[in-house]
Amino acid sequence: MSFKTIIGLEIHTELMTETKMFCGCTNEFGGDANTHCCPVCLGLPGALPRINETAIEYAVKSGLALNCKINTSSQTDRKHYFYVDLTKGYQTSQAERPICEEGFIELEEVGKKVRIERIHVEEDTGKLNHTETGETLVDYNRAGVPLIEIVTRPDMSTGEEARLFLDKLRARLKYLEVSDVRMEQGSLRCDVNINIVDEERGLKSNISEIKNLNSFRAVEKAIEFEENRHKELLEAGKNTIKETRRWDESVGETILMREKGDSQYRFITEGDIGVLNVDEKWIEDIKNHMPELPAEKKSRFIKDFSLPEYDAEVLTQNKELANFYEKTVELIDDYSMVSNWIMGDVLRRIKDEELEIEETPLTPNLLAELLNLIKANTISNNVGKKVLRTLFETGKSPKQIVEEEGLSQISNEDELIEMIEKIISENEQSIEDYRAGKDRALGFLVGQVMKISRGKANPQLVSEKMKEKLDSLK
Amino acid sequence: MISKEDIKKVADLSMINLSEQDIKCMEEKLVESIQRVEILGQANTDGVEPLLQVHEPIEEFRKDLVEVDYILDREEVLVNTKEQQYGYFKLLNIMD
Ligand SMILES: [Zn+2]
Repeated sequence: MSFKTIIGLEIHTELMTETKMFCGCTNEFGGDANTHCCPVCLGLPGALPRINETAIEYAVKSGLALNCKINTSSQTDRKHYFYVDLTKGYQTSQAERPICEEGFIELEEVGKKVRIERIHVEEDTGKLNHTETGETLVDYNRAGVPLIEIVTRPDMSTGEEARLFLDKLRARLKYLEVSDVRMEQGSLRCDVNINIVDEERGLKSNISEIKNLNSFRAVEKAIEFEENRHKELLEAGKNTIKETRRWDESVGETILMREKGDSQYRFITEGDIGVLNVDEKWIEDIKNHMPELPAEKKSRFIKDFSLPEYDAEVLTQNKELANFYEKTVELIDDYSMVSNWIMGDVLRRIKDEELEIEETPLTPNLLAELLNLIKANTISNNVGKKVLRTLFETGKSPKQIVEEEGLSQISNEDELIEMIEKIISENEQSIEDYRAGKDRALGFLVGQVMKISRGKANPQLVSEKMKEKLDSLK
Repeated sequence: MISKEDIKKVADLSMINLSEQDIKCMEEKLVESIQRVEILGQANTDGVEPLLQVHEPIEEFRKDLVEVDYILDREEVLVNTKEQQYGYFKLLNIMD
């Protein structure tokens, strides 16, 4: 049987506004339980919502960055369900007329365009903490925090494509500074809708929705797991049920949460909020103030810094990394040296430690200082790598490290000639070999000098002086 | 047309307990109400924007500034709850 997998994503992102979606409570992450609450976000009777202008602006910005059509007039609706995470008995969301529609993200790597059906604004829910003793503790600080929900069309067919889409989406939202898009902290959450079809035989599984995916890797793994589950059922002449499932990271499986009914949310128009008008002038203004997005930055890097396409792609994947590069090349006039160091030792380090560049002690100033030490021949390239490692561990400046550990290169000729003479006197065989025309002998002798200098001798100078000395002995 | 099953379903979703008697009574009333409202469907609304609200139909946005005065003290937030712990609302486990 030949199956095709059909995947759509629903992504929730918390917006980094100062206040909540419908009230002036602070939207600061965390805080003591139930201290960021007011009558509106607690759903007390009679409290009236007032929409946060910046949340609307961020939604429009996101829509523009995802090539969406912005609706100049949209509306809010009540999505009813009974659960303690919201006290009102409904979530204020947008059903009929969302703020943005019909966008897309291009996945150049696989030659595919993933369409975005809609983006709508809504409110986040309170946070439930389940204790070991079987109780639940509820904190409403997060209730009412502004969210956008981005819904794609079912245009992806592998876990890898979903991953690519999410990478690009996250980079754009981060560039826009509308969200900090951290999956571990829950400011970006992704649900997957998946089913499979066998076109030849006209078979089709029912859609499963997968929740509780806490990393992009989990999204990929859950898709693979579900693909197989759907295939096995269809092959056995059965089918999946329309259901919501939960990803369990510890066992690497999805688990049934609940069956899905139809129209269970009893949507009605939110009567307490009027039409959301976003006029053309405002949209134009937001457009004019859009920050540079990853693709634009990439072409500019290629043009301004003469970087190869691959390097520009890597450096602009992440906004902080791109800024770091730009700040460093302002301080040191060597575009390719800076990019090689960032893409090599720096990126490797932050990947190993699973950090963002701004979470490490390395700053553009410190990197420029290090590279200048190398360019001035104060230290060799290899010693530079060692200094960088120490910097990551201690936060000390390269100059301080070089001084404290006595790493500066020996360029004093007298000192070098003393070492060269010592090595020559101890290695008669190599001198014979050199005379016999074996070039390798020179390399060996230089290596010996480097060894007794503990890597601090200036290798070029040693090589030069060694050659002079040997030739004079001929 | 509204069926008994529809009424049961909506009642379940709304967490309202209805007896057979209630459902029968509800069915008659709802059918009548809906028939009346459906008369509105005869009006030609081609090209007419939907009206969501009669008063202030255009939402005025709020500036994104923290309004400290409206934020409640935690004691006030928790004042009506039967059980609390460490500043949280405390419930019996409702894990699904
Ligand atoms: Zn509030």
